[in-house]
Amino acid sequence: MNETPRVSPVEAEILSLLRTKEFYGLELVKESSMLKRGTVYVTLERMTDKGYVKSREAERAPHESGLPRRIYAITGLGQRALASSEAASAAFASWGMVTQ
Amino acid sequence: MKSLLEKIVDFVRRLLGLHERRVHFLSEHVHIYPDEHPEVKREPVVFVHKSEIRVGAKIRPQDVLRVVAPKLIPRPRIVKPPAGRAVTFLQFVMPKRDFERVFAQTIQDFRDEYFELLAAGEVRRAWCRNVFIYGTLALTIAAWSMASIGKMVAKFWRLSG
Repeated sequence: MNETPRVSPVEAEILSLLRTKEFYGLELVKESSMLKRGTVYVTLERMTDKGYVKSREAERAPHESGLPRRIYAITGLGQRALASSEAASAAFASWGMVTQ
Repeated sequence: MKSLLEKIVDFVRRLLGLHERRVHFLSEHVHIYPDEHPEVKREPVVFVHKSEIRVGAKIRPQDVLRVVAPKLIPRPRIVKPPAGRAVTFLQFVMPKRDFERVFAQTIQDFRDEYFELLAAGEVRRAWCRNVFIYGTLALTIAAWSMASIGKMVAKFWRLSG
């Protein structure tokens, strides 16, 4: 991918959380006030399509039932996208300070 | 923890609006009849026996079982988990991948919280979760629809360009 990755604020929030460890979707919502229950999985799915995050089905004990859960983790591309987004934000902030 | 017998006495007491002091709770092993105890004739008395309740007039054991006991012992019911019908509907309507990765995750989050609250005895809050799930599902469907439309537009844009 030659294009500079574009990361929205919500995506940046998710990526910065996933940088530390793997999370379930609900854990992400509980960790951040920016994320909403109704939209977090749609955002995660979009980020999966972009290649920023990957997910795997959580292991379950034999006695556990219910719908299968997924655990999300950041990918290499996601880390680069986040680093690029943070660098751009920092550059923009420093440019603002210079112009003032 | 009240025994079944005590629960029946409480139920009859509530049913008749009897005052505490008017109710005589008798051991399930003792047979007492008004004829043998003249003092009971002065006030309404509830006699409780292992197999019968006496409230002025005799209530037959089969009536206790038929009328009183079902109200005291809640029948265990098997009910669907929250959004059980919504899962069936969404599985039918949505693509499998999107159902598993978006909708199933949202529903399972609520179900986990719902069962945790039920286990903690917080029935009211669990019921609120059960209602709240439909609002969140509606929001998820709206977000998913918008994302799907966006994807299609982007695809056509790339194809045309």
